[in-house]
Amino acid sequence: MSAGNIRTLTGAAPSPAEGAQRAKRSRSAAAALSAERRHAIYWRVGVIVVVLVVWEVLARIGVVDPGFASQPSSILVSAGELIVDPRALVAIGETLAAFAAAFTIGTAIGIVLGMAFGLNRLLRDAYFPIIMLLMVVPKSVFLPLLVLFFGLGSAAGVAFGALLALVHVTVNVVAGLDMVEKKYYDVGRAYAAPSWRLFVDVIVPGAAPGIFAGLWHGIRNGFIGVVIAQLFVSTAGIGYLVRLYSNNFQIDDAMALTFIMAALVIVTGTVWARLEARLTRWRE
Amino acid sequence: MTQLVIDNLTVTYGSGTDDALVACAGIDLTIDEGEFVTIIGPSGCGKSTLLHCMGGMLQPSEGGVFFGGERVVKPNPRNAAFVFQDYSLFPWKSVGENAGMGLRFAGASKADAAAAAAQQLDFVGLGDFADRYPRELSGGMQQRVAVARALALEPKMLLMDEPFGALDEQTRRNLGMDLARILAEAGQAVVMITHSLDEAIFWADRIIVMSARPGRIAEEIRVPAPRPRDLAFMTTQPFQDIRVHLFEQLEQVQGAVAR
Amino acid sequence: MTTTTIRPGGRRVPRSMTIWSMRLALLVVVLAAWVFATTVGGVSPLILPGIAAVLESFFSLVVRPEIWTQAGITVLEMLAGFAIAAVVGLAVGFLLSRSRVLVRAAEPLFAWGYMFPFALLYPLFLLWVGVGLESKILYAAVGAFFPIAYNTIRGLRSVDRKYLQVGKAYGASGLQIDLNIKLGAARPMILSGLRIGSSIVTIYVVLAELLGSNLGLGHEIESASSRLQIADSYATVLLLIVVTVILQRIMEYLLRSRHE
Repeated sequence: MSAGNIRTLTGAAPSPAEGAQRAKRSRSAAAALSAERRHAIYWRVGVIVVVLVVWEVLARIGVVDPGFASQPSSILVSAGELIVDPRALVAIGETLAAFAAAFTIGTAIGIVLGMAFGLNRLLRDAYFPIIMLLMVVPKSVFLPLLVLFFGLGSAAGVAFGALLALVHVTVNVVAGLDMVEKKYYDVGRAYAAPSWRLFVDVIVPGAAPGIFAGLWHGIRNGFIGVVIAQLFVSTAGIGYLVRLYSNNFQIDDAMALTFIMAALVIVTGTVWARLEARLTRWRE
Repeated sequence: MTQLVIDNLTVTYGSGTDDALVACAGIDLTIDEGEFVTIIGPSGCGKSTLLHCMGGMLQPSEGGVFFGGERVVKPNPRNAAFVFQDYSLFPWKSVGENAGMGLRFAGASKADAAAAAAQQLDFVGLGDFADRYPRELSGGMQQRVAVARALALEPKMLLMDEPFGALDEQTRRNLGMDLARILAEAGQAVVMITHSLDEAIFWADRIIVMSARPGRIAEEIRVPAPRPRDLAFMTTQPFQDIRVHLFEQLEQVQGAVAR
Repeated sequence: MTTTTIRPGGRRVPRSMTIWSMRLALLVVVLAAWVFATTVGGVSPLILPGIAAVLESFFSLVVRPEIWTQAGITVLEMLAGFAIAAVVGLAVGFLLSRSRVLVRAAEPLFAWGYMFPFALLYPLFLLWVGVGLESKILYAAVGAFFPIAYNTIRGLRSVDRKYLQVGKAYGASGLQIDLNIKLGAARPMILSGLRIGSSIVTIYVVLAELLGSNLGLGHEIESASSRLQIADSYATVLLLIVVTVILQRIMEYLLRSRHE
């Protein structure tokens, strides 16, 4: 059967009439979609509000023991107090300082290792599996050892956070470099691009999403690592405070602090995701 | 014997609003038992919409579709079974399971479905591939599995939406010959949408040419040659005559759109 | 298939040998540092016991049945936590996916749940549920629930319409569509969620046992530390690493992606 078919007849560009029809159709589709979006937001907000209200009511009438589980109103009050409480602020400061150190160390080493493994096959085959193994191991298992090494101060927190960040960043940087499609790399080589050019124009943009993911994991894990170590070691920082409040049955304060931290993490995460989407828009 | 009757069919999307789009308007069509009908027309002429209505996947805004005298309100694959444009085999099921899936959905037991599937796979020439997975098969082979899936229900009619659309020239040719034989043997009525003039003529007892906006039947062309036909048919004078006529028809219909 | 590398001197060496000698080199460096630290370096055995002491402790540890009971408890907590999170997460995911609006509403909520620093809640968990097995299982289950539910929802949301069309064209019932089409199409994402869940369960159980428990390997580590039997502590850490890695590998094998 020969190729004479109708495509050659209809392959011409759409006429103005057809274009208008298409626009009309997509407008009504878009309207339907954003209605759905609005409804979704109503549901989300609604569920959260209902949960909070039910919680509050149950606590007030005594079904749920407020000494045990607290209630939204008192949590809110505690949150307000905590934000201006010097002890809380000091703890937050300590945690952030430890986090900054952990993140810097872990991410720096992670990027170096990731690049080395991504670009050198031999190093990667030899040593990357060790990093992957570390990924799989629940690293909390090293906490007692780190405490023995670094004592009860914040150094243990920095070390643990750095370890977590390092592992995740390395894995993600390697994954990012893997994503640089070979064909773009080949184009660079075919045009005899100098290595640094190759690096800047091909490798970095190609690996960018992976690197971004890696940085985010570095932030997240560095932070969690520091906080967990503080929970464990218990002498300074937010982890310590939460544990202290919990043990003293100051549930309101403990929950308030937790929720403040959670909100921070969630907001940072969402902002970061948007940023990443914006910067890697060329991909899709 | 008439099998499928389409009576004054109109399909309007978003009716009652400013953005109402009439996909098909006032379509009248009958299809007889064992008849092979191809539908051809420019994009936007509602051919897919029409086919979906025939299969009960879509409800018309006005008029109706009647199969064997009864109104079609939902899909009944034992009456009219679909073969989709991109085969839509489930990648997570084996070829054998895929071929039997139609029967399973229609309520058959696992054993019955497997038996029928095996039989149909043999029929389409893929008997040895039952344990493979779709991604291991070429496009042409996947299409055969999709046909087997439909045939397993022993339907009275096959509805095919551009079944060769995604295949290259060579595969189309080979698959075409095989399918011609298969469909002739099975003997059910077939309604097939195609973009290719040659296919439209080669397969059909009757060609329906549709025009767009709104979708209407512009013309019906009969192809009197007996089926099954071999490739030599395409070199004959009658074929060429019909082809020229069809070409002009489509130009006219396309021209009407562009205006 | 080994490829060869040419080393200085022109001798051809099989690549796998090169790799293993590199790893050996690393191991030697680490061990040498360890020996140095505990002998010449003067690091106290209360911080870093000598290699011999740790090895001796390890081998006497693994022959004691009590330690394996504790290991069994730890593994049990992980499996139970995972089972609960998987069942509830999948069920919630499937139920929610029947409504487009609910799915859109719930998706970000579950994503936030995943980002929530659950570690901070553990001291409260201890207050609420006590120090025994249940607190670990519950804690791990809650932590793993979110990524499982989230991935289930996302997988179900992205089922290609064309597969659903096939179901409709062949008259499939709602249940048939769920089991044959949606489950199959969403399976890669669901499996990925389950893998994440299994890894979270491991992490949370270990953490919980370290933070406050009376049973399990984590508890053993802590109690050895507090009795100043540091070599035992190290040995138990090693055992815990081995056990969790094996468990994780098994889970990943069972939850691997197929046919896609």
